[in-house]
Amino acid sequence: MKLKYLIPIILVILFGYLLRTMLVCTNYNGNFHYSSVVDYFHLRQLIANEGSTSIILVRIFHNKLTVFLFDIFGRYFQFFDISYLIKILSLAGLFGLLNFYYLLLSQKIKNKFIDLFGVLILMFPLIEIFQITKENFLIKMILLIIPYQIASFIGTVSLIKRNKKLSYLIYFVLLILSVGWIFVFKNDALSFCTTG
Amino acid sequence: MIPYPKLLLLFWMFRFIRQNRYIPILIVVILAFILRVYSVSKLPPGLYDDEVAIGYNAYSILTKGTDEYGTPFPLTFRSFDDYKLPGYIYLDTIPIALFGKNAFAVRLPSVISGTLTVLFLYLFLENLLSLEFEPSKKKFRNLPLLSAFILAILPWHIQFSRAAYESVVAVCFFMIGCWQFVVYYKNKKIPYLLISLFFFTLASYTYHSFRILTPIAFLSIFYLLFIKKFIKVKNLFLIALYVLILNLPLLIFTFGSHGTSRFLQTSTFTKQALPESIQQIIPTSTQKIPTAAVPQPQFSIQALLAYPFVYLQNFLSFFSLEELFVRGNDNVRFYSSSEFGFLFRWQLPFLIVGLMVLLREKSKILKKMVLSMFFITPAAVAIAASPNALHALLLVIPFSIIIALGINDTGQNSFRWVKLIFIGIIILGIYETGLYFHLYLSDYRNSYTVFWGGAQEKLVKEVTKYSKYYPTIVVNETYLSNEKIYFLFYNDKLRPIFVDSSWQEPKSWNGKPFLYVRYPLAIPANSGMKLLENITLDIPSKNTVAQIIEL
Repeated sequence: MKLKYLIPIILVILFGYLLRTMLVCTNYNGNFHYSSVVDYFHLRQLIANEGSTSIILVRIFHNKLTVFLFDIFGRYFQFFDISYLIKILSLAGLFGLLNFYYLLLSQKIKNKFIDLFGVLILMFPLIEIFQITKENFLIKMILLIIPYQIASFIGTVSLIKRNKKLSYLIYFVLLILSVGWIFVFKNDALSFCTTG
Repeated sequence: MIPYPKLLLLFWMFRFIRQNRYIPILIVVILAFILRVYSVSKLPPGLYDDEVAIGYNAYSILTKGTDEYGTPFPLTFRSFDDYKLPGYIYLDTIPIALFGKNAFAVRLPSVISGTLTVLFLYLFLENLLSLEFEPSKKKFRNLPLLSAFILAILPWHIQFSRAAYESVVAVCFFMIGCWQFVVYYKNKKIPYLLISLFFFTLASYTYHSFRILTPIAFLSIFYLLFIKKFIKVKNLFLIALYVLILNLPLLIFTFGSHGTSRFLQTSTFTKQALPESIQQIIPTSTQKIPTAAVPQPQFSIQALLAYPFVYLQNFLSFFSLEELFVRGNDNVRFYSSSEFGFLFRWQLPFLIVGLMVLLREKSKILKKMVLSMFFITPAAVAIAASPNALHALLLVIPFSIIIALGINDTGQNSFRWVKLIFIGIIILGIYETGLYFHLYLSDYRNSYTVFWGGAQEKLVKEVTKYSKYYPTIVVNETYLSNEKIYFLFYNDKLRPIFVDSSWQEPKSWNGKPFLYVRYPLAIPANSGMKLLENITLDIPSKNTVAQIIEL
């Protein structure tokens, strides 16, 4: 079978396998969720560290809004942490996702729906951060994992479409590496979620 | 209302700055210098062991012509068996001769190089852009200045420029090399090429990661010279010979046992550095080398699979948004506040826009130069445990340029809503930058003094005070690592005896009481120990870091 067809098939099987391993998850772990209590204590800690600094400066720099924004920023970026992305997409899938965004940024994909999809999936992590849905993990997978896998798939297919033998080969090696990694090293534990 | 004469003065100043093209960059360089030099001897709070080792070796070279082990004018400094490269240490002899053996003198080369990097980035970009664009072309006119400004205020670069990190000096040398090469590319005058190659070489004599980055630069330069046929083949060989002669000592070191030992200490492929799940599966053997016995993974199918995977994971980790914008590295000396990463959060939108501009840009030279630095740097240093912000410090250059490209493009956008968003981000940016400097000046000292060896100077001073009464001083290095170098640096006349955890505390030394320095522990009754002093950190929490005891 030609690599052109083999690569997407292996990738889909790989994504399916990764999703299956995630079925044991019941929720994302606490680091992904916003907590006003954590923010409150964090703010108190910051103020306590100030010592003799003038109260005006303390008020300007250490307030609920700043702590809230910084906290959300930090939690949001955990959804784009490399080790997290490798766990939900595999290494090959991550390169597919990077290619997807490369294509969007360089305007090599001129499809408004794909553009919209690319922007929308960047918003989805907010659903989990604020725990808008407390449904079972299957729904979270549909919202927070599968869309990224789709984007990665689009990125991969576009890479293959370029018809360059070298990129086929490199991507194929990456894919073999990812498959080997998952089956030989068992893909570590799913540290981003709680189980049981 | 501003009075009329003052308004006139402001107007005149503004016009003066606009008309003199070097005034803005001068202001940026002065800003960069102030941000790097302000209170540098006190902040970071204390000298950490590598800085002290650099300072003492520089002092030793200056006074005795040898390193701390007595080797005359060495090419590499054994130090803590990490074989430091000579660039920073020899450079540091100048400030130590001028200002003495203190924190300011140790850090000065880093401060100055960090400041000059800002200037060389400007000069490099000015020349690079002039290769492709007319100076009058508006599109990228402000890019060199904006990039220099971004680098001047970048937390990543400021943090490292304020401590004695060899990497900062190496980046500066590397930028001089890049700038001189672009000047050569423009003028085709051989001396510029020779200067460029010389500075690239200096970078590789200054910091270990440049032993990989510089050869890549050399290969790219020779490839370009060969393809573009700027130089006759015969002359090309002569230049290659020049490079070889300059680099020969370093090549001998690199492939010698000490070079290999350094590689094994930092490599991500040694057994300890590999992720735990892999460590258990890959069979290993211990390869004995003079200075380290590190378990090496044996060749196996598992290793064949794990090596490229770990390498690629390391490579990608340099672009982790969490590391870049939120958390920074695990090494607390690498970031300047627990609230900040290496870049400001406000820079993220500009980074994205900058990448868009760069990827769509038709200008080949700018695109190739910036993207190659952006990807080759992490690719070269990913063989070590990653992400390591110090190893990949050269990344500050492409990041500054890309963020500046984003600001430049957004600022020139004529849409009203884009302008509003732009102004909004800039206001947030001013606030966040202010918060960063506020935390650096207030919170950083309180939170991180202990990690910077903040009480070591005080410890040596106190021991010196007591040394008049006690002929023997014993220092137990358990939990107090590398104490020897601190004693050498702060008072090399004291000759303490250094012991480790296996040492049994005797009641006296040749029948006489002696001074005993150790990590703070409870003193048991009837142990014969008399606590003379607790060494505490000069921060509100007053943590005790060492005890001086009479035994």
